Amino acid sequence: MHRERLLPAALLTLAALAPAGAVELRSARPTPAALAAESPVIVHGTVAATRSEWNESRDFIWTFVTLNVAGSTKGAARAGQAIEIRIPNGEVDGIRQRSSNQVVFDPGEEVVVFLAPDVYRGRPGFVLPRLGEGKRVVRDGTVDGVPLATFLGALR
Amino acid sequence: MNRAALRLLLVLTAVVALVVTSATAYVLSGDSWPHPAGGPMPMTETWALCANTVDVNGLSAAGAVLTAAQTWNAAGARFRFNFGAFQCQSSTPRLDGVNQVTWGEFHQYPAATYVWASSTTHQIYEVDTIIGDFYYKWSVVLPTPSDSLDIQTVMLHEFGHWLDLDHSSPPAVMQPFIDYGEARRTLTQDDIDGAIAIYGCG
Repeated sequence: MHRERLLPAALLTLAALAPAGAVELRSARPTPAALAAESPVIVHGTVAATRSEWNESRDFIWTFVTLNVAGSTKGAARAGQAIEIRIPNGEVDGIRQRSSNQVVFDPGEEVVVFLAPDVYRGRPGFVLPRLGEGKRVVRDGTVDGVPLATFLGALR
Repeated sequence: MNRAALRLLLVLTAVVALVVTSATAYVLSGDSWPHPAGGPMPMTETWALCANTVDVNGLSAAGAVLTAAQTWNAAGARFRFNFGAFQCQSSTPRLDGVNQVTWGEFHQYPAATYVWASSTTHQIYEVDTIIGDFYYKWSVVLPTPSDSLDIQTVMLHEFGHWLDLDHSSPPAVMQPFIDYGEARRTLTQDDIDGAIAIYGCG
C-alpha cells in the first residue's frame, strides 16, 4: 500500500475511535461568537507575568495576570498596552486555591481573552466572566485550529 | 512502503488510538483529604449547607443536595460526606474553616467548587461550593423542566470535585457540561473508580 493512501486511512481510523460524546461536549461549550457577543473587551497578547495575593480578609486568593496586548478586537484596550486580569485561584503562603472551571495563565503564553472591565481595590483591570472558556491559547499562529487572523476576524 | 514500515504504522495507530480512547477515564486534581494513620475508616468530612435558593423551598433543595452526598457515600469508596448543620456561614467561597454548600450571586457557571490545599503535601484544608442563584433556575423534580437545572445532578458533580475528581468526559457525572432539563443522578463506574483510586474501597 502506498504511504499516501495509508496515512489518511490511519487518520480516519483514529477519528472513528475518538471518544463518543465529543461532539456533544463541543456543542455545549460557548462558541467564540457567543463569547464575543457577551464580552465587552476582546484582546490578544502575551502573558508577561502573574502574581498571587490574599484578599483583604485573607480568606481568598486572587491571581493578577499582566498581559501585553498585541491587538484589540473589541473594547478599550489598545495594542502596546499592558493590562491586568484578575482570576480566582492561585498559590500563596504554601496554600493553593483552585476551583472547578479554573483558568491558569503561564508567562510567555500567547492568548486571546474575552474580558469584562473590573475595579479591585481602586485599581482598574479586567476579569474573565467565563473563566476558562474565555481564554483561548494561540499555538503556532492558530486558535482552535483556525489561523489567528481568521479567528479574530470572525469575532468582529 | 515495505511490510515492516506498514506494521510499525499500524502499531503506532493502535497506540495513539488507545491514548485517545483513554481520555474518557477519570481525572484527578492531585490533592486529597488527609488520611491520618490510625484514623477512622472510612474517613469522613463534615460539611454545612445553606439551602437559600429562591427557586425551590429550602427543604426540597436540601434533600437534593443531601441525596447527592449520599450517592457518593454509597459508591464504595472509603470516604463519607458527614452532614453537619444547616448553616449560612458565608454567601461567597472563603477559607474560613467550614466546608460549605451555598447558593449565591454567582453567574459564570451553574456552580463552582473551590478547594484550598497545601501546595507541598497536597492535603485538602477546606472545600466550598457556590451555586449560582438568580441567573440560573433550579429544580428538584423529574423530568427536569427545560428551563431549569437539576440540583441533585449538579451537586453530584460538585461533590466529585470535593473528593478531588477533575473534569472527565461523557457519560461520567464528572463531565464538565450540563444542559437545561438534563438529569444525571447516577454515578458511572468511571466516577466510582476515580473516588476509589484516591481513597480505596470501603
